[in-house]
Amino acid sequence: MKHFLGFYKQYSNKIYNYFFYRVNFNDEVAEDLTSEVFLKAYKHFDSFDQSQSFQAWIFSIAHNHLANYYRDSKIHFSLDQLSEAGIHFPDKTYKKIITQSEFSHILKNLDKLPEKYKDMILLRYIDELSYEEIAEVTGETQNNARVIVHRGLQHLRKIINKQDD
Amino acid sequence: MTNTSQIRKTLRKLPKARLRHSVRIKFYFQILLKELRFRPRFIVYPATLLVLVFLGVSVYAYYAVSVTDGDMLFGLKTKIEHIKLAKADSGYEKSLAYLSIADRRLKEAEYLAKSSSRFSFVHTAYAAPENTETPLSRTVWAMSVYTKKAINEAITVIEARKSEELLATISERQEEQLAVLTEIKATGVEKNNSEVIDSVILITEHRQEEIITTRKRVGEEQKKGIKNVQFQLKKLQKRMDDIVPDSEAVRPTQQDVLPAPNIKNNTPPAPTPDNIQEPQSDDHSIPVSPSPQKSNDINNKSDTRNDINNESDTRSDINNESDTRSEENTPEDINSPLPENGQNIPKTTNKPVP
Repeated sequence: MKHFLGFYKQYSNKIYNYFFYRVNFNDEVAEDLTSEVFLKAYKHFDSFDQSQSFQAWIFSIAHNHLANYYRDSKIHFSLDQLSEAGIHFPDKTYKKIITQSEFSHILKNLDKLPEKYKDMILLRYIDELSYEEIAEVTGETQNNARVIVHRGLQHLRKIINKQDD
Repeated sequence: MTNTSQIRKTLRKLPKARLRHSVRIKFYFQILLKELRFRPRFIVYPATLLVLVFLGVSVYAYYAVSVTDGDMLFGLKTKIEHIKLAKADSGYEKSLAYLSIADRRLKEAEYLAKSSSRFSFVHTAYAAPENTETPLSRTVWAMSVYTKKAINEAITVIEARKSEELLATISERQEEQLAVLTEIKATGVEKNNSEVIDSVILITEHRQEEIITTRKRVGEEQKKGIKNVQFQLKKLQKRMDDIVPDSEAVRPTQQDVLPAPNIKNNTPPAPTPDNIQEPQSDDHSIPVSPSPQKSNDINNKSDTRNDINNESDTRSDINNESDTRSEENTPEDINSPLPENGQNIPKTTNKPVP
């Protein structure tokens, strides 16, 4: 248990952040999902191979859990959906995002990308996973993950430049 | 034009959300519950049993009248009482809390008096010839100490209605205390106990008179339309200090060797407000008597009390008086000999005019 709680202390913020950017910055939902993921991980902690990365393992659980959540809730989540609707969230991170135009601008454009690119870019730059870990989480090969992220960025650049023009 | 590296930079700069502490604590608790559920029974059950036994013992110690001074669980009882006292934050609540403890001590004293005839051999062995303390005497004295503390707290209550209400309650309780103590004395107690009971009866009678007088005066002032009763309460406090000092004497442990009373001279010292120490631990013992040279001060003080009874005195007089008293405080008086029957009460012949 002590070992597991050590991992929880280390990665709980990362998993929370992962959900936070994927459930429209809804802190309550993100908190619930984080706890559920760690409880699931605790339940199957015996099956975790200690020689492998815990981060990759916990992110794959979170990834699957989020897919289940999307499926069950039948809601389409987008990064800027709620900010446009004017719903207020008390979270400080969300306030930072909406008050700084460059953040809200990039997130709005990121939302326009196909789901596959968006997810890979978020994993790489917001969740700060290595390509190896991204490959493990998404089930893609490392090279494939690298290519997808690269293409996603190119795509995003085009959208932003087009908008600026 | 934006390039890819700029986009990367902005993406990396995006703020990171952090999990709240309350969510973390909730999660730890969930894990703990899960852990306990999967723990083998031979670990969980004894631990739960121990906790339950401790809780049971605590409840028993707190509520049982039979847990008295000298009992193994008495320390636990007083600890719980102290926790309750610490929880009371206003003077009104504190006064009620002290009064509640005084009630407990009274009931315990009643119990001890009843059981002393059955277990008298224990008490005889317990009280060595030079040691005049018994659980009964300590309990009776502790009751008196807590009643005094209740009065002190009641005096600090600024709201006149509440203060008056508290004084009325204290007055009722003191009547009850007097009745019970007289009854205990009538049943025939050991000499040591009898002396302390006599002292406490005298002290309580004096206090009762003072409280009744103050209540009358407060009532009269309120009829006249004077809402501020603090002046009268301050006077009461001063008179209380003259009867028995603000910090009544208690000896920390029964093992401490006290000097024997000065019987040869047959001139027992009179107590003063300054030569008595503050109750220190859970153990309440009989008062330590004051030094002889202080007796003169007492007589002087009783004169001053006359002045206080006189309505013409001023607030500044009282302040001056209390200043003088603080100067008289001498720590060596704490170890003075024990008082004889009733000698711990100042010889204040000038009783207040009812």
